[in-house]
Amino acid sequence: MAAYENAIEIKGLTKHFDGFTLDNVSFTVPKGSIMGFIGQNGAGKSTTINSLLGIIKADSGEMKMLGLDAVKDEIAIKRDISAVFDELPFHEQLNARMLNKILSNIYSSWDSDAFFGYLKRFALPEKKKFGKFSKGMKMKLQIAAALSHKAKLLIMDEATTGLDPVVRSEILDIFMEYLQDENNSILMSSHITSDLEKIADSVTFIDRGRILISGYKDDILASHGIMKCTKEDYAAVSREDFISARVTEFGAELLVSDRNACERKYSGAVIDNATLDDIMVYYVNRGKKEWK
Amino acid sequence: MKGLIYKELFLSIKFRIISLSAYALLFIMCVLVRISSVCGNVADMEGRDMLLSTIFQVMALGFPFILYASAFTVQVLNDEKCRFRQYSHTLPLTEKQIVGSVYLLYLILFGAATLAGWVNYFIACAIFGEDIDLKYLLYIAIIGLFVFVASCIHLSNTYRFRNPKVCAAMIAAVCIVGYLGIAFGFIGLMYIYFKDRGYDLFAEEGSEKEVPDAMFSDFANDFFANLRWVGTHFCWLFAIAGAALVYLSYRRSVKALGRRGS
Repeated sequence: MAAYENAIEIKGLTKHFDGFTLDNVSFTVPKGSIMGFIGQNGAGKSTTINSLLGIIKADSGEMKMLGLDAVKDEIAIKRDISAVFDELPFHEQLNARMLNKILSNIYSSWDSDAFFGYLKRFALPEKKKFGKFSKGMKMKLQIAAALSHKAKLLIMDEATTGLDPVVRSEILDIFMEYLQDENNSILMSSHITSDLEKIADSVTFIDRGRILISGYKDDILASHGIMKCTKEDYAAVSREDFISARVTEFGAELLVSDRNACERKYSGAVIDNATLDDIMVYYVNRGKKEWK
Repeated sequence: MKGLIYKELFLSIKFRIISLSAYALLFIMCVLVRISSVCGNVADMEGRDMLLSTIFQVMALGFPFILYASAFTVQVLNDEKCRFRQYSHTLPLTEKQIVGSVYLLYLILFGAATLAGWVNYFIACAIFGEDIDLKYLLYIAIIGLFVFVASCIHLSNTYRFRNPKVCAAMIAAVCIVGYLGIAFGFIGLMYIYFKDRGYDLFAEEGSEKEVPDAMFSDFANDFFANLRWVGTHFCWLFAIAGAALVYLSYRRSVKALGRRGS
């Protein structure tokens, strides 16, 4: 495999469906990092991931994974990547032993000891049919399978959605461990931004098929802020200076994308830290500009 | 590829066990009838020979259907339901390999079931004291080829439509058309056969053109003789047509799996 800087490079990815268009999506996931891919339902996260994985064919755009072309070198790439979905993609009649037999004959780098090691660590039974697994067990099983063939890139689509905080925390620990190897990278789409705030190095925010923000998480959180002011003060704020404003009878809360500039321009204004959740909500409502 | 073959085997093992159990049960029943024909109730029964001959035919040519049915069962439709199809696109396998694994498994099982059918025939001959007629081996293989080809066409429909209801409707439609086709074809054949001999199949009762009863058994004998002749002399045609249909089904399946737009 050639040397590469970015585990994922997407340029101008476009896919048109009836009623939805993934419009010119571009972002990169640096090697050795974890990127959070956030956006509301139907924003285009799964379409982007499915295009990247070759599950759906993109209309146009360039996609690279591990330095190779995602379309031309599809098979070579897929030896070194793993995908984890929100639902278990294995038949319910199978058990872990059968899955080991199946995947060990598909991946040349499959490590059965590692797989059974993960099963033991996650307390997953080897002979129990997957149909009798709980949602958390199914997710852990997918992660065990994903990590057992020495994948250099993990792509996860809503993998932690619907899991309880204990299981989520356990899974996040595994990801942190996985990232100890600087050659490994993760792209993780999720609604649960608190998880991403904990572990992501960078964040890409997609809305209605378009990328709104993409960059290092710390930079994004540092540049954005929630400005709190009275209705009178709000009336004096220029509309170009904020993304959208939540106006209540007690005052207004505005998301600003250049916190330092706003602090200078509106001296005395209170600007709090914004969370990824805040950023998502305010950006989603940017069309209305003002909302309740 | 080997991994996907294992997957299909694991998933269909339950159905195969049930089918083979049914086969074993029917086999035992046939053996019991044979024992009874020697030292039991059937020994003194009127029409004993006719009964034994029928059971022998069922065992020799009917049982392979069970063996083939147990062979050609895969879980491709369930791939869609549990999203394995989606997952399979993330595996380091080409569409040809994914589809090819199922067809290869079918081919292996076709061979295994044919072999089992032949062994079954030899056992049936031994039990019922019949002479071994090698043509039966050919008939068994033709039955297998027919089921194999039908299964491959069904498989390609499964890849193409990805919907159990549509696939079931297709099978129902093919069965209805096939049934009507065979029924009308058969009547047509009878009509021509009798017309050539100066009779009318649809003549009124008592008229001079009414087909005599004996003529029907002549027709049946000629029909099966011709069928056997075609089966014996043109078996290569069956093989070529079967291979072509299997290949076309395979190509159609690969193309259908390659549709990744939706």
